[in-house]
Amino acid sequence: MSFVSPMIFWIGLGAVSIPIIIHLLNRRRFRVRQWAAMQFLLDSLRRNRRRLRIEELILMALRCLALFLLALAISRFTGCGDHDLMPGSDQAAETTVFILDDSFSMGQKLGAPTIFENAVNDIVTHVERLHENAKADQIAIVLTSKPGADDVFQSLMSVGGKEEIDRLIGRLKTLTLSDSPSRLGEALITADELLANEENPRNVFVYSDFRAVDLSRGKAGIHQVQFKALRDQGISVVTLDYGRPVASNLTIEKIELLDKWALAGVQTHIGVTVRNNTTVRLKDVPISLEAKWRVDDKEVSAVFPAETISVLAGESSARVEFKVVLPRQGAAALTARVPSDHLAGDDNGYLAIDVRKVLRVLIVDGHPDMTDVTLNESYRLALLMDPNLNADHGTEVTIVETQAIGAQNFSKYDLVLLLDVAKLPSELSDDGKVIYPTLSALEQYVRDGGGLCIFTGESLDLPFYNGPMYAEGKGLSPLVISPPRGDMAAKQKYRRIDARSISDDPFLKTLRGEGGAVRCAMVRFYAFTPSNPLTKSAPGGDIKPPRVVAKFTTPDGGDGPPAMVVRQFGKGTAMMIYSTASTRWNDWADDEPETAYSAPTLDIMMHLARSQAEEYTRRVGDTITHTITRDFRDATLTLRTPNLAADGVITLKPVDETTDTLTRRVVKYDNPARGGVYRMTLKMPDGSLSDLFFARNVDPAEGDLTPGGRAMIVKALGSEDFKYVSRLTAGSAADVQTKEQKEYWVIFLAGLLGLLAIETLLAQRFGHHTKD
Amino acid sequence: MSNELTDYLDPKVLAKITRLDLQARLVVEGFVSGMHRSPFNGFSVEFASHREYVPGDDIKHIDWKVQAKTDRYYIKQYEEETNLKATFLVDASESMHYQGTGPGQRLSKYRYAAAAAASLAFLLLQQQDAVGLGVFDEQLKTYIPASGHPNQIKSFVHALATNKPQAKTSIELICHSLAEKISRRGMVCLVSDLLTDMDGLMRGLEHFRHYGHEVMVLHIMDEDELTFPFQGNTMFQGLEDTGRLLIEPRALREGYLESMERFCRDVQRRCVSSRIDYKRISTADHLDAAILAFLAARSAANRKAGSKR
Repeated sequence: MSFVSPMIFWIGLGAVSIPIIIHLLNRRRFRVRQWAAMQFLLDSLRRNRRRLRIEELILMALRCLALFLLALAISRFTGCGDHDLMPGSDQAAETTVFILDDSFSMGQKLGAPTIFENAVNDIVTHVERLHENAKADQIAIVLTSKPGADDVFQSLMSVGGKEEIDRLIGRLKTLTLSDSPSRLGEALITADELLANEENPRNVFVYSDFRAVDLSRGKAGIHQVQFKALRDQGISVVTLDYGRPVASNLTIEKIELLDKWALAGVQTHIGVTVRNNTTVRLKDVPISLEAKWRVDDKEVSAVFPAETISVLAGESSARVEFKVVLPRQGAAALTARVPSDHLAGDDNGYLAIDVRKVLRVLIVDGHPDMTDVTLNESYRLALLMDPNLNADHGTEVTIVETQAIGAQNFSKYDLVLLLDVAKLPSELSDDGKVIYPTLSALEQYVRDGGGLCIFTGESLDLPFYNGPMYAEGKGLSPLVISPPRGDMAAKQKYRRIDARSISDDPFLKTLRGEGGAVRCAMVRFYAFTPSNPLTKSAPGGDIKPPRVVAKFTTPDGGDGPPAMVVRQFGKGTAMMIYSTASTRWNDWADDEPETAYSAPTLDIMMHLARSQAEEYTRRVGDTITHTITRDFRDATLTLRTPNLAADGVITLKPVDETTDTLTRRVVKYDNPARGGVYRMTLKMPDGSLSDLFFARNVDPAEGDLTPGGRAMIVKALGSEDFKYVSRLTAGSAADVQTKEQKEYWVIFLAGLLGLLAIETLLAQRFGHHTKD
Repeated sequence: MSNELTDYLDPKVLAKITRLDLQARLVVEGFVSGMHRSPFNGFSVEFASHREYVPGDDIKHIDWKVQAKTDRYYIKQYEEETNLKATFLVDASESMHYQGTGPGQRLSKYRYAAAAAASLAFLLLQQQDAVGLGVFDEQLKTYIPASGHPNQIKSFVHALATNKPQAKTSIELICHSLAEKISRRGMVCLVSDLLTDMDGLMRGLEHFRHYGHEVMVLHIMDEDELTFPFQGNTMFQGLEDTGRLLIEPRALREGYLESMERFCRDVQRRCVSSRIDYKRISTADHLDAAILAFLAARSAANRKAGSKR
């Protein structure tokens, strides 16, 4: 027995007691009347006592029954007819497509088995029955996680062959859940395609939990369109609903690196967001965090003190912040856990990070060999970031000359600084054109998330900077520049940074003089490289327009030329500062106003440096891509997926990806369909191993197990022209066979009206109602 | 006293009923004078005077001697024109206290019964008959012997006004004691709701009949008792300690009316078989109409009886 609104039915069932209560209450409410002719009343009562009692009972039963029918009508009883819904019930041969929802949410437990296992068992029962009553029936099975896949499941097969059916059932029984969302709309398309040319009676059986979130998302109307297409062809659709509300389900909604980098031995902040998917308010929810590394092909782990969410309201999220010191460098996989509940899979969240020993900075110095080393362009910056030149301040600085830039592998660095570099190396291509492979590599590096900062100077090759480096507004140099201007020799005239022009970006906070820093307005710029802020940039795709974040002052107090310009370039950021990094054009890097230099400069450098927050951690289904650096060009790559057995290691083959000017060697894995940590091992010919971790997390929306029920299925399909079977409790698949979902509210309403008429008639007949 | 008279003697009612007369259908003890036949032939009454004959006078009363002397027709008039003694027995038990709830201001059964008795007594006194009164519940509370004195009506009404319904009914004993008290045969009129033991009632009335009295029963019922119009759960508290009962009246209405009708029919049947005049009157009926109907019915019955003789 099922209802569209079971709650209303139970309320109505309770309301059946109302006539009885009214009857009892009425016995306590009466008028008192003095009466003379009592003997006749007593005589009448004596003669009619039994009749009265029976009449009262009849009327009360009718009234109770009327309320019961009202409850059935309003709750839209979908009861049970005697139509056999089970596949194979027709006399003629049928063609049936079973759509099995193997999405992550089907992993919710219903007692010992999951509802997915129940659904699989139901399909097995139905397939066996088809096989037993075989009349040239054909079947196919479509999985919602990969509805369009070229799979043996998704081809029609005859159910007559014993061996084939045994093989199919064997495979069904070994099916495991995917960690992907349901793609019911696409599964309906596949079913439509499979059944399009069949002439037998055709059925589609959908086994799913029909979560509200699944039915309401996806392409607008795709379910309706596909359902209509099926019905227009006369294909019968039966939905078997395994969804049910659960008492508790927590989901790790997000695990993230709150810092820009994770450095070994330095306090790192890890954020874990937990969602309470039920309406029950929870207290003291413990969250644990563990990190794992691979050391000498062995697993090493570190467990951190658990954090607790003191109160987690229903249907809300809360974030806790772990402050941990990661003890090792190298690829690490962090796992956050909440206590196990009805849906175990989403109780873990994974974060893959590359714990670095230091931040790596490449400085390309245009003037490395000055007589006075303090005039080297890199002198002050290198001293600022790595004072002892031994990486003991968390930053490892590599200084190279301009000529050596071509040999650099930028991907090894988090930040690249070009200090008055004249131009980047060029080559002649096969067709005789001048190409700049280093520039292309640098662009790709920034596009991939690297940081770049360019200081100008008198060495700049303007045709290069305004040519390929500017690239019609799409290059790393954001604006067209002009020859240097200023009093760089006498150092009498100068400009300053116009305090009013400094943007309110957080990383320029110290430049603005906030937080006690000495304002940069004290710095004197004797010379600068003029640039045209009105230059038309033609960004496209992931390249954003340049932003002037600081300007030089002008003698007349007007709008000055740009001093600093930043541009989002792909995932990375490029910045251009239109003066030298050394003290040749300014006194910024001078010792005197040190605090005006070190704090703002460090802030800028840290802002530009590559972030690793989301580099290795994505959603289930997102392709795993890794660029092979030169050092590992000869390595053999293997990938271990989270749930594969040890021998189920996938060997990956790197491929070359070529753009106009660059060829990269990348390795890809397109099917990370499982939530968890993927370990990529790079094995060098000499036997040395290097591991990388990639984390793939399940869509947190999968944790919302709120069932849609028949009402939402009707809404999603835009029709009631399908049969609905609720499989709320685990039971025999044979239960399905006699349940036809049909609403009987009209019948109950008619019954109710009839009953009321009878009640009125009888009440008048019995003298309980007046006839007028 | 005058208030009491107006309370019980409605001029409208009296104006209507005085057009008729209350005739005793049975032979009553006394003179053959007026309208009442005497069973004692040869018993004379004292002559009073003559008056001139007017059409309509019985010619047997013409004094032929005077006619012979004066050639005129004179009628002999006697000192006393009647020998009828009518005794009204009015039920003042608690059940008579019931007053209906319907539209209009209905009288309680007792008030209605008293008004009916007073009106008929007035009529009889007008006819020069003697009237007496017995007011009773479980005992005889007031007894006024029959008298034809004009002031008798005042005593009659006063006795009715000073008695209030409060105790149970016990008609039988009252009838037996009064039957022994009233020496001469006459007319006895019981005005009651008859909510008492019917066998005892009949035995009492038959006692009167045994002594040759003409007996009339005016059965006074409230309209509520005849129609039982109540709705909604009601606790009926019986007057005269008859218990109480919580019921849904509509459910018992049919059975009640059936019982009531059966009772009334039974009373009527037994009255008729004992040659007792019976008249059921509802307090919703206009008193004048009810008395007129009663008197008309008696006249008709008298004519019918006369024609048979």
